[in-house]
Amino acid sequence: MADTPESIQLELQPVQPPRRRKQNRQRIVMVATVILVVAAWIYGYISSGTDVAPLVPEVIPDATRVEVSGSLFIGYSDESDEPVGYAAVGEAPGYAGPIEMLVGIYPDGEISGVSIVAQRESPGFFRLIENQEFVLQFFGKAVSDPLQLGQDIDAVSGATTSAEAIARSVRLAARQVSAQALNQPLPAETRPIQIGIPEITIVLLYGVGYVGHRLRNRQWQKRIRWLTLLTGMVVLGFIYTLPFTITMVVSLLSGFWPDWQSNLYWYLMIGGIIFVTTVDAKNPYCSWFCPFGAFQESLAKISGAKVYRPRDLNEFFTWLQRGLAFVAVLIGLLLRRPGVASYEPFATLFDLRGTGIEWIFLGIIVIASLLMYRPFCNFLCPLDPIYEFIAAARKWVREVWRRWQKQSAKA
Amino acid sequence: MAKTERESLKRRLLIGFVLVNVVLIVLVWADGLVEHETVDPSFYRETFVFDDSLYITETALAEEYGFEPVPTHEEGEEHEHSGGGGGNQ
Repeated sequence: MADTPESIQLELQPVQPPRRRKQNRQRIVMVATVILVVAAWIYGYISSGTDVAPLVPEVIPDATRVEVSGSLFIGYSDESDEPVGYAAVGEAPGYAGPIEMLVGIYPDGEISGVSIVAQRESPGFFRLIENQEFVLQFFGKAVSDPLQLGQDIDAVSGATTSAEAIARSVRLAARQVSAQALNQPLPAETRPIQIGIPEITIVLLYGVGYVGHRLRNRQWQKRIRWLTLLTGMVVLGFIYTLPFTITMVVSLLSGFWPDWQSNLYWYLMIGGIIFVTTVDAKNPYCSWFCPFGAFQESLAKISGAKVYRPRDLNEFFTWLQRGLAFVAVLIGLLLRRPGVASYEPFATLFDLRGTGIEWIFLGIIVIASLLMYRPFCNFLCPLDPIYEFIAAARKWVREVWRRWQKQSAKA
Repeated sequence: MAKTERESLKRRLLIGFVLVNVVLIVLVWADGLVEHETVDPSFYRETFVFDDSLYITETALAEEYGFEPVPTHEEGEEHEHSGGGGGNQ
C-alpha cells in the first residue's frame, strides 16, 4: 500500500470568472477610448482655425492694402485714402457644424465678394453647393436686401440646411458691416422656434416606441413596431432625410451645438436617445424607428432573410464594428469636421445622392439585405457601438454608486 | 457534407461582404478628405499687400489697454473706422 500524505495543502488563487474578465477588459478599452477621444478633441481644437486675412483680397477686389479694425477689415487702394470696401466674417450653424463666411462690401453697400472661410459639412452635400455656384447669387446684392433663401436667394436642392447656414452667415456679416462701417444699423434677426412635421413625428415616435416596447401582447407589440418603423422610414427617411448619424454624435462631442430655436429636431433626436439609453438602458432608435433599419428590415420581410452571425466570428465582427465607430469619431474630432466622419449610406438611399463609391456601397447592402437580416446594422453601423458604450458606462456608474452606498451604509 | 460546404461558403461570403464594405468605407472617408476644386469666386491679385504683423497685433492690445485711436485720415474726412481699435495701419 502506497504512503498517502496526511494532508495536502492547496493554495487557491482567486480566479475571476470569464465574464468578469471580459468585462474588465472592456472597461480598460472604454477608458483608453475616452482618453484617445479627449486627446483627439484637444488636438483638433488647437490645430483648427483659419486665418481670414489672406482671404480678404478675394472679397474686396479693388483693395491693395487692408487694415483691421476690431472684427472689421477695411480695404484701401493705392490711389486713394478712402476705403474701397469692407469685409467681415459671419457664422451660422450648418448641418454638421458652424459655417463661416467672409463677406466683402463696397462703401455703397453692395456685396463685392463672398468666400467660404470654414465649413464642417458632409463633403457630398457641400459639393452640391460648390458645384451649383450658390454663393455667386450674393454678388451685387445690397446689405439691406433680405438675403434669405426662398426670397432673393435660391436654395440648393438636397443641401438646404447648408445653404440656409451660408445665407445666414452672409446676412450676419453684411449686417455687421452695415452697422459698424456704413452707419446703417439694420434690425437684428429674430429666430422663431421651428416646430414642424419632423419635430412632431420624432416626439410621437419616441412616445409610441416607449409604450410599444412595454406591451405584453407580442402581437400588438409587433404591429406597433412595424407602424413606427414604416413611419420612420417614410417621414424621417424618404421625405425629410433626417436619420440619426455619426455626424450628429461628432458635432455633439465637438461642441458644435446649433441654436435650439431653428434646430429643435437635432436636440430632440440626440437628447431623446441619450435620455432613454441612460435612464432606461434601452436603445429607442434602432429597432423602433431607424429609417435605414426599417428599409433593410422591409427587404428581409420580402425575401424572408434571417439573422446570420456565426458564433465563433461574433467577437471579430463586434470589434470591427467598434473600430469603425472609433475611427469615424476620431477623424471627425481630429479635423473638427463632423461631416467627414459619416460613412452611412442614408443620404444615398433617401436623397438619391452620392458618389460612385457610395452607390456601390449602398448596392451591396441592398443585395445583402435580401439575404440576411439588417446587414448594415449588424456589422457596419457606427451607432450601435455608441449605444453599447453609453449602456456599459451606465452599468459601470451604477455599480460604483451601489458599492459606494454599501460602504457608506457600513460606515 | 453538402450542408457543411454550404455553411462554409456562407461564412466566406459574409466575411467578404464585411471586408469589401470596410474597404468602401475607407474610400468614402478618403474621398471626403480630398480637397476638391471648387468654383468659389476669387479676385486674388499678386500685387495685394497685407501686413501680417499688423494683423497679428490687430486690436487686442489697443482695446485691452484703451489706447486712443490714431487718426488715419485727414481731418474733415467723413469716414471713421469703427470698432475702437484703429491706429494700426
